[in-house]
Amino acid sequence: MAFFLTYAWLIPALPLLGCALITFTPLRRSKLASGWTAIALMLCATVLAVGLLAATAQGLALRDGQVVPLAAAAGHGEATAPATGEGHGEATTPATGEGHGEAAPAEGHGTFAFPEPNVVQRFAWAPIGESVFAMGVYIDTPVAAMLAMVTITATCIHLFSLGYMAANPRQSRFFSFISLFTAAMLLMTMADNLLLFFMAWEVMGLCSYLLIGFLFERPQAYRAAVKAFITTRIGDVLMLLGLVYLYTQAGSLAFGTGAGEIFNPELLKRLGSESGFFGVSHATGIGLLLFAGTVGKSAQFPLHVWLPDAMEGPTPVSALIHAATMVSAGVFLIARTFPILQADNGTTLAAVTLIGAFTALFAATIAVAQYDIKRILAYSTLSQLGFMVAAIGLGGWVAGMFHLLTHAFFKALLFLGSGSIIHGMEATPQMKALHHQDEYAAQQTAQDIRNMGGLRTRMPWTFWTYTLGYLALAGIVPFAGFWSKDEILAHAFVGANWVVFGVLTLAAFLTAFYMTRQWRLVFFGEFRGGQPVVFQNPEPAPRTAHHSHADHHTHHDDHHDTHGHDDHHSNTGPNWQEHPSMIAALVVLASFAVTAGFFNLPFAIPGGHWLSSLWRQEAAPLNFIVAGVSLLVALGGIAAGWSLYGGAFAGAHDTDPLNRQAPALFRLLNEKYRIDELYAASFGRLTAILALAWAWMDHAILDGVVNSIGRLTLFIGQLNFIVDDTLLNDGPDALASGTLATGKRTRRLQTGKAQDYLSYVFGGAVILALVYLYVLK
Amino acid sequence: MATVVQIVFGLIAALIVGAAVMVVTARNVIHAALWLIASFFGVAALYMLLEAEFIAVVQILVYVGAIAILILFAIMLTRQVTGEGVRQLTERWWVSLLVAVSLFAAVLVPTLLNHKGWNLPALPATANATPELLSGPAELGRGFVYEFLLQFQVAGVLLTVALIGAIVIAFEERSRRRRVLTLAEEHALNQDAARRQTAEPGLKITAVTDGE
Amino acid sequence: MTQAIPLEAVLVLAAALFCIGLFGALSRRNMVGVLMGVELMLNAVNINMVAIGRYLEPYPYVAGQTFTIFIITVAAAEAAVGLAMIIAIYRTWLTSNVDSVDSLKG
Repeated sequence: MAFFLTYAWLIPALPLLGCALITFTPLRRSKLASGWTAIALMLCATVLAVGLLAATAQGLALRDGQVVPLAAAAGHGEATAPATGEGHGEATTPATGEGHGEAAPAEGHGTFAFPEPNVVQRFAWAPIGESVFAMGVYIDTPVAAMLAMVTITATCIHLFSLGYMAANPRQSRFFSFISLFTAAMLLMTMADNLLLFFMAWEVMGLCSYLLIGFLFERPQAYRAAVKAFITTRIGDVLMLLGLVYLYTQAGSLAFGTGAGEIFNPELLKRLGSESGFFGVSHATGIGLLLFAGTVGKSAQFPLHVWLPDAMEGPTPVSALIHAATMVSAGVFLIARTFPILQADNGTTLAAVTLIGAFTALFAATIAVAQYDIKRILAYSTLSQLGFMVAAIGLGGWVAGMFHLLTHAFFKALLFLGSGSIIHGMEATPQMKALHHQDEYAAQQTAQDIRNMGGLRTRMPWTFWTYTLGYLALAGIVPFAGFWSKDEILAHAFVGANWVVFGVLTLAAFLTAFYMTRQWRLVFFGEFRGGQPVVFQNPEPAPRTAHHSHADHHTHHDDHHDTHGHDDHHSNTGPNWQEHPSMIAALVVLASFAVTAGFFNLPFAIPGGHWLSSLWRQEAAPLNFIVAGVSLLVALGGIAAGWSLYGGAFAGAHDTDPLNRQAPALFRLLNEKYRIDELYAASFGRLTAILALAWAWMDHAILDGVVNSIGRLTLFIGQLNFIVDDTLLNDGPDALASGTLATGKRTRRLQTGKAQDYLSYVFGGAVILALVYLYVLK
Repeated sequence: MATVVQIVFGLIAALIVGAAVMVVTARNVIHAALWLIASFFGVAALYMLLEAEFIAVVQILVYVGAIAILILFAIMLTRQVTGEGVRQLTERWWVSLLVAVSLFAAVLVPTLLNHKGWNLPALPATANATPELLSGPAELGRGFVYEFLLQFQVAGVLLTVALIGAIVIAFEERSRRRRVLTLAEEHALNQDAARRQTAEPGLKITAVTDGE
Repeated sequence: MTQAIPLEAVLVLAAALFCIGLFGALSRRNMVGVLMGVELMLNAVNINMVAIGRYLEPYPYVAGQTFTIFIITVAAAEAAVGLAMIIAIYRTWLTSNVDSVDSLKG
């Protein structure tokens, strides 16, 4: 156990090593070798992370190189009963007692004690003034849980990529990127200060950019990459401002409750009471700025636009980054800085709740009207992230983190399942035929759920695992999603936030509905890929990029096409293979999707409230009203979806039932509330108008001023010239020509002949000696 | 006795300086090399006069026997045999002369002659007193293995390095090695070159000529 | 002998030899000529060493002669390397004249 605690820093180091190995050694020439290297190192990291989790679960901590029980923190936060506020806080945790004392009346509950660290290893990084900025790792129980989740998910996705990306010529590079990404995510999770956190956060942003634009032959892909990068950059800049703000106030960015650390109770109290800019308190300012980082990274409204576009990346990327890990980094950020957020009597948390709940519903409605299987999941991700953000805003710290963990598993599972489906779809003759004309259109067509159907029998492994993930996401007891979502709803219910509760319940209903729609259309009915709805590519990719690739396949595929035309309906051939590595990843994730909820069962049984007790937070008991409502809502959503889509889509070109009933609404949802267009029309056009105005200003005013200054200068210059030429020039001219002549003469000394140089040396020596002998004497 | 020694010294000095002047002024390089050998002999004689017999022998062995012969070989190899009628000094030889003469006349000689107190050891008063003890090869050998051991080793290393360096520098790859022409071939080549030069007067032949 | 010839006489002789060698090294066009000038200079130094050793050193000390031997060694090495260079330069530039080799020219 001491090993796991001492060498926790190896967890991010191993994937980083994998990245370096693949990038810098000849390993990259072999797809399989690089893939297995990355997977093996990820497996080691997983073992370490799980071991670390086990060690921290036993309450072990590392102090001065010695493993000791975490006795200091054992006195408080044991999941025995709901805390009773002041007494609990005062007695054992002065760290949060004060801040809590003020926050509690606003929320009614929500005692939060920043967990005691199990491992803190710091080294002096940069001296700043009198102090030294330290960097290092800071591991407490939530971090350990996050590490375990990230490593397990990432390993599965590495494994899945081995099969999924096998056809891509740049598979080694892919592994290098996702290894780097995983390393950054793990480093961010265990960072001991916000600056290191931010650095790793930015590396993840970079990896996200690289991976979204991985298929950079497509204009859509690189545009999506740029969009994601810039959109998240908006949040990141604000977050950096927040860090600077915090640093000016606290003089430190290190996590922890001790003196000189940012969760120090006196500091938090001061931040909450003193007011900074615009009359808001420091804590509000800092909290909102930090939350802006979350809005960008976790794609909350209004910076959500990048996440659906990010689905242009390969599917494992969508699973790893845009479902399981990176987007939850934003949630992790507000979970991590929660003491600051709650230091100002709930203003910040109210904003957090508002944004989260709104996004949850908003994204869920959009997901209802999408056809692209990955986009549905992307909007579902937005919605679920909204749940988590709202949970943290409500003070449901454990609920938010719990949902983060469970969601990571089942959303990664769903994404990988969709990847498996797309992989299968792309192998059908129709898609292959389309592939020749337009690769991008072929892929988009293959992702269209209208073109699927009846895949239940064709891809049984995918079907069953996908179903488990679907049930977990929809919130059916006893799958993972139910427990965590229920806990969030319970927080809203207990806190009597009826609006939030209603919004989240509605979002939960819609979640069940759109997932049922998708599940029904993909796996049941007849296969509709024979006459697919072909995606109309508005800008066909330049053929040059893939020409050789396409030519390479032409002969082979022509052969296939002749077959395909003969028997459209016998698609059960070798097309529908499920790669073993993909199946393995799906099964592992599915097992977690089923069981992850059991880590925090809301019952007072042995093993119940495990995560709460592990994180030393108070545990919320099961609220049977909420649980019943939530289950009913989920079942209602499923029933609605099933009945509505039961007979729909006999062929791929049919109209969606919702579209038939409410075409205007459906169109609005399908076009995602036209937010992108709105941005283009508002911010984009505003920028353009501003630019035009500036251009006009530039031409008319600035140029005029500059030109007249220029003319004036010219005039003065001419005057000057006359004076100069007649009066002043002779001296400088003589000097110049003298210099020139000297140069010309001196140049001849530089003959390039060794003998001449030697005679200069001796001549110089003679002159010096003469001076010494006759002048100085 | 003293007079004889002085006469001998004058002869040796004349030989050394005269031969050295011939070395630097002789038009034929081979002659210069031969004058160099004469000068080396003169220096060896001077060593004898200074009662450093071992050094005198080494001087003859190394300088005359090795270096001078090496120089002669180099002259042969670079085909500088001819040289009569060709200017042997650089265009600005008078600058060098000025430097050398001023170094001698204005710096070295006044320095030497004005120097007082050479700290000479006390000499026996009369000529027929017991002869003074002098260091010979035995002391020299002892010095090499005791006092100057390190320098001795360094000198050995230096020689080795010089040997290797000389080989490396002078080594010519086989592929780049020029063929030695037979007389007939050379004659044909010269004829060819002459014909071309008459045909195109502007063309300069960049062959191996020692002159302008 | 030391009574007959003053030390200054030998040193002036060596100085003369040195300056003649210097003139040769500075003004001979032929590289071998330059090398010969350098040899003369080294000989002048050797004469100085031996003479000063002879006149000034008491009996068991042999520093002058020892360093003469070292200089002869260095001279031999220098001659070997220098002549090798001359041959290499001759191959490349097809000349053994120093003033033709002016690739350092500015």
